[in-house]
Amino acid sequence: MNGVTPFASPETLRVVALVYGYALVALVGILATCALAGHAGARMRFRWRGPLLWSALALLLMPDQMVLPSLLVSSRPGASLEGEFAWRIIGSHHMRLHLALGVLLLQRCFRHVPLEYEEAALLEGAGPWQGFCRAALPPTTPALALLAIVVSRSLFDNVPELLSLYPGPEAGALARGGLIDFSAVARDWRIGELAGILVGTVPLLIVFLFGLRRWSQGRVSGGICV
Amino acid sequence: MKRRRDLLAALFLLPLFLYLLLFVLLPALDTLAISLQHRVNYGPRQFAGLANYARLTANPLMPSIAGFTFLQLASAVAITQALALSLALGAAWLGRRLAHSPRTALLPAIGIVAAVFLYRGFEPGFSLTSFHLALLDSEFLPWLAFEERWRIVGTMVHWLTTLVTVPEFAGFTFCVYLLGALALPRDVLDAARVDGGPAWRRLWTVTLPLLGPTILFATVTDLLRAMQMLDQPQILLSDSLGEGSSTGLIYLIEVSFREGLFGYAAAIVVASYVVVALPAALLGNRGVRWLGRKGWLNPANRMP
Repeated sequence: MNGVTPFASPETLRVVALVYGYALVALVGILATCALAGHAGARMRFRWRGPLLWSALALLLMPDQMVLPSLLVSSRPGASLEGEFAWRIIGSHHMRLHLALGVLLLQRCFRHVPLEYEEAALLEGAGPWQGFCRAALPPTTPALALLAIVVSRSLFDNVPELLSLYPGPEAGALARGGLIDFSAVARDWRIGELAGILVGTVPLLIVFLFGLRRWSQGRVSGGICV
Repeated sequence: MKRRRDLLAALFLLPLFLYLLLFVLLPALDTLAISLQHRVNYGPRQFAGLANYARLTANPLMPSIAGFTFLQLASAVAITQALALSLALGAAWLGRRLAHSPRTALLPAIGIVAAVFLYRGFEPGFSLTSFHLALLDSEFLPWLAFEERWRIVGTMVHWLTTLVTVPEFAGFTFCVYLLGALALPRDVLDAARVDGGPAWRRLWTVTLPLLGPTILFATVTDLLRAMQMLDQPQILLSDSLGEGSSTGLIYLIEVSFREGLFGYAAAIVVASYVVVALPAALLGNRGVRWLGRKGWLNPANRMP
């Protein structure tokens, strides 16, 4: 019963759907953006290539403080929840760091994909977009999986905090449920809860191990490199 | 042909630059605009010129806050880098030694998982914070005079704050270094080992130069993450060292939330960004050239 009560209110459902919807948009968006920008940085020669890529990196690594006053002013009382969540999820400094890391990682990976794959696709009559999607992208799957895992973990951490922004009691209960006080559990040696938390992390561990095993198998021999 | 090539590249880079425009550039410009305004508690915007900057230069607390922030950042980043780099090199060495069995190839992956959970999963920082607060609340060095006790406690608080931030950062940095260390070319490392020489020399002349770009990336990201640290410094520094002993971010939040002076807060942000970014931009190119001359960006030059 207690598990159902927080979801009884349509407003709470809307808030939860908003948070997870934005999180999904952020995840897919980061993967797509990093793949496209990484491919452009690794394979394409165009005017202003160096300055464009370096300025993008410099902007991604800009400290969060520079956008904080703007965020504080825009999140005034009565501001829309949609805008607030979009800022807190998609515009957070975690996402910017993940974007920087992802672009560099994917750029490195695309450099290790044999050029012949794309050339063969072009000779077969594929356009640049098809060449990218069908020849260049598939070998970078392990790196994309790794990036997806890292971004998902970061988003998963932020969900309770985001739910707590909503003043409704149901969303507050959900947030408190998500914000398990790990340190208090460990400090007071509450063995039952600690075991529950550890068991709860097993699915995540399996996903991690699966993704990172694919990485460590050496299907992509790239590293993180500027 | 060239035009078509440029157009194609622009299409590939469009999502990234659209994101940068919406979530970085426009808000940063908005912050710059707010810094030139009187803005109190979501009230109307009034143009104030450079009044907020004048107030900032007249603030007697600023040198103390800047110094404290610098110390905090420098020590947190240095400790994190040393810890993460040494752990990652050790894990990579172990992985290479045991790499003959396919199962042991999972060792680095398990290391990464452990590091990620250490980084955030169990929030080790807060446990440490509670412990440190309990230490400070207890009767500490009762035989000393009050002022002397507070001076010692203040110094301790600074270093404890630094140490508390390290576990959270070290995991992510460890992941970055481990991926970089695993991608090092084995033939180069083997050749260096065959040539002989002490291990520290191989580390200094081969491994670290090969990891140069990774070190640069990890240091910059650590610095940025250390600048966002709010929780632990806020808990530990409050009421312990007095008004001037605060990090830049804590002071910014206080000015914004407690006093509602958004214009002044924006001026602090813009001024501190210019102070940090301008020398970095001026020295950056020269620094990269210096590293290049020293061979750190081209490891082949430093091969023994």
